[in-house]
Amino acid sequence: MNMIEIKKLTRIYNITDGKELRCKQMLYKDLDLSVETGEFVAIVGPSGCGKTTLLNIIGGLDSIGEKGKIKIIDKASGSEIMIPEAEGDGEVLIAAEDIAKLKGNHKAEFINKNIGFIFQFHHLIPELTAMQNVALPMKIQGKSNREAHKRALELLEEMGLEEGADKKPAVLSGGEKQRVAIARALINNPKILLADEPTGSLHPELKDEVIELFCKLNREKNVTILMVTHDRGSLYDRDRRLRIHRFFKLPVESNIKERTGEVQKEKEPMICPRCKGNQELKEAWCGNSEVYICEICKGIWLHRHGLGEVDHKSVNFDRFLVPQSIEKFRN
Amino acid sequence: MGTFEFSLSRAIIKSKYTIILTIGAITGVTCLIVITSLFNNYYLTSERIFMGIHPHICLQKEGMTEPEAWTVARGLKEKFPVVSAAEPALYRQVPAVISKVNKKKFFCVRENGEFVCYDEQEHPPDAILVPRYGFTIIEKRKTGILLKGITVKSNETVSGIKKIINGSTQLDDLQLNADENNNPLPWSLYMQQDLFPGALGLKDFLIQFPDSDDKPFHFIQRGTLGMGTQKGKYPLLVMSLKNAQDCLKSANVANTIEIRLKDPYEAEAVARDIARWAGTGYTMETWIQHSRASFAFLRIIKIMILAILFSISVVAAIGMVSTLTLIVMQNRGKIAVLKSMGIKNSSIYKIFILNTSLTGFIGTAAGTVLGYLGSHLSIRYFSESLRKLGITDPRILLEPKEVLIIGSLVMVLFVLTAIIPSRRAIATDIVEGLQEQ
Repeated sequence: MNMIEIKKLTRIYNITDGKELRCKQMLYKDLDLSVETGEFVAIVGPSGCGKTTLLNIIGGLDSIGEKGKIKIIDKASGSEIMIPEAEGDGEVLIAAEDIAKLKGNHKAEFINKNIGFIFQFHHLIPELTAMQNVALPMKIQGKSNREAHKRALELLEEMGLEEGADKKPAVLSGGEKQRVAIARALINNPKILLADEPTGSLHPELKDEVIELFCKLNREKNVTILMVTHDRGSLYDRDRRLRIHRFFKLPVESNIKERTGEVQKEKEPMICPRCKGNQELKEAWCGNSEVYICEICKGIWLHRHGLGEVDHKSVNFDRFLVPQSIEKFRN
Repeated sequence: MGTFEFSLSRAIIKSKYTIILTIGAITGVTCLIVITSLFNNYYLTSERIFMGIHPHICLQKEGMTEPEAWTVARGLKEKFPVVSAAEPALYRQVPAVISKVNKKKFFCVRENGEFVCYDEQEHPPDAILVPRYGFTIIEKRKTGILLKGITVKSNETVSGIKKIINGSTQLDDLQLNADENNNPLPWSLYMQQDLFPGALGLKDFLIQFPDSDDKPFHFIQRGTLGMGTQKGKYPLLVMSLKNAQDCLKSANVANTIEIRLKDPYEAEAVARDIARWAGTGYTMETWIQHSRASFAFLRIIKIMILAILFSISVVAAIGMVSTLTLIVMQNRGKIAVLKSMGIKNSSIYKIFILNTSLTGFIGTAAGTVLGYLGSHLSIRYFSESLRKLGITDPRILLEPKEVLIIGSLVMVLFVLTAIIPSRRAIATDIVEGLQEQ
C-alpha cells in the first residue's frame, strides 16, 4: 500500500521585477512519486530544486493550487493586476486521503495524527523545556499533561536525553536539539515522518548519528520516512530499504518548455574532459562537495562553471564517501 | 480547560507585553472608576438641587385663600393616587432689604408701662425679665427675592428642601415663634447660600419688605440652601407659610399648592391630568420644566463624558490590537511550528483570548481597588474644586452595578481586541513562518 502518492504534481512560480512578470520558474511538471508504507525515501538535489516545497505540500503546510498574490502592471492595459505568486496542479494522497481537500480543523487533526515534521533548524519553542516541546503535539491532540509528559519522557529516554528533559533548547547542543525535535515528531506515533534537511545544521560527526536514528526508526517501528537532504554522502550504504530520488533544478525560462518527467530522469552523462568520451564520469561526494570521478584516468573533477580537475593531494580520501562502484577507485 | 493554551500563551506573548497591557488595563479601569464616581457626585448633586428647589408640581392660582388651597390639596390626593403629598404654600417675588446683624441680648423690665432694658449682669433682682435684642448691622443688601412660605408637617415638607440644606434640617423650627414662656423668638428661615456667602450656621438677619411693611423682622438663619449657580434668578428665602403671610401682610393667603409624586419623572404627564381636573384659572409648573435647561446641560455632559470614555476605550483597543498584532508578527515562526503540528484554530484563538482575559481580569480587579483609592484621594485633595462645581458633599459614589458594567466592558474589550490578532495568527503562512523562525 502506498503511504504517499503524488500524481502529476506541477508547481510554477511567477517571477516578477516588482512591475512586470519576468519569467516563470517551473519546480515540477507532472511529477509522480509513490512511497510505500514503511519505506525510507530520501530526496536529494541542489538548492532551489523544490525538495522542501514538495515536503511542505505532502505535509499540508503548502497548498497545491494558487498561492499568494503579487501585483504587476499589465502590459496591454497599463493597469495593475494581481497574479498568484505560485500556481500548480496535481494530487497528493497521504494514507489514501487527499490532503488538498482537507480544511480547517479536519486538516489540523489529520496532520497532528498522521504526520511528524522534523526541520533543519529543529524549530523548538525556546520558552519551553525539552519535555514540554516534545509533549506539544500530544497536548494539541487533547491528551492530558500527565499522559503527554510521561510519553515525552519515554521518548527522550529513547533518544538518550532524559537528563536534558527539563532544560530549555538554548542550553542544548545542536544534536540534542535535533533529537528533541525527532522525539517531538514521533510522540503521536505518526504514520509518516517528514524530515527537511535534518542534518543540515549539524556538525558532520552528528549527521551520521541522526541518519542512523532515522534508519533505526524505519527498521524497528516501520515508520514511513521521507527525507529531504542535499547531504547525499551520508546516505550511501545505509540501508537496503533506503531509496534515493534525485531532483534537478529546472532552468528559469521565459517561455517554458514542457519537460515532462524530467525531474526523475538522470542528467546528461558527464564525460571526462581528459578521456574525451570513452568513459562516463561517476558521481561522488567529498565532504559537502559533489565531485565527479573518471575510472579510466583517475581524474577527480569538480563542477564549477565547467569541469575543473581537483588535485589528488588536496582530497582527503578518509572523508571521500562514494557509492559502492566508486569504492574501487579508492583502492 | 485551556491550560495547554494558557501555557502556550505565556510562551508566545512575552511577559513585558503582558505587563504593559496589564498596566494599561489597570490605568483604564482606575480612570473609569474615578470619573464615574466624580460624575455621579456631580449628577446626584445636580438632581438633588433640582428636586430640592422645586416641588414635583406647583399648582398656582392668585387670590386663593389657605382653606381653599387645602380643599384643592385634599381633592388632589383623593383623585390622583400618584400624588403622595399636596400642601398649600405662598410664593412671591418681592423686593427686600436684608441686613446681616450681630445681636445683643438685653433683659427688660416693665416699669411704669415702659420697658427699661439692662445688661445681663445689671438687671434688678427679683424683677420679671423679658428678653429683648439690640442689633448692629454688619452688611446690608437690597434685592429682589423669591419668598416661599411653606407648610411643615412633622418635620417634612412637600418639596425636597431638606436635600439642599446645609445646616439644621429641623424644619419644625420654621414654625417656632415663641419659647416655652411664650416669649417671642426670632423667626426662622433658610436662605440661598450665595446671598450672603460665608454666613453658615445660626446667623441673625433683619429683613424689611418695603412693599408690605417698613417694620424689619428679626430672623435667624437655620441653614443655607445649596442651590448651585442661580445667576439671573431671584435668591430664594424659605420660611413657614404663616410667617410669610405675616411678612407680606397676606393673612390667610396661599397662592400655590405644592405637590409631591411617587415617581417624580412622571411629573409632566400627571401635571397635564391635574390641569384638566383643576380647570381654568390655575397655572401649572413641574420641576422638570423649571430645570429643563439644566437637565439638557447635564445630559449633554453625560453624553460628552460617555463619548470621551468611549473614544479613550477605542484608542486603547486600537493600541491593544496593534500590540497583539506586533506579538503575532514577532512570533510567526512559533505559530507556524504549532500549525505544522496540527494545532486547531480554536486553540490559537484561546492562546490570545485567555491571555487578554487574564490581563483584563487583573486590570479590572486591581483597577477597581485603585479606582476606589483614586476616588478617595481626588475627593480629599480636590474637595475645594469640587465645591466650586456645587458638589458640597463629595464622596465615593459607585453602585455595584456600575463597577460590574465597567468590569464587563473592560473584559469584553480585551476579548474583542484578541480576535483580530488571533485571526492574523490563524492566517499565518506556515512556510513563510518557518523560514522566519
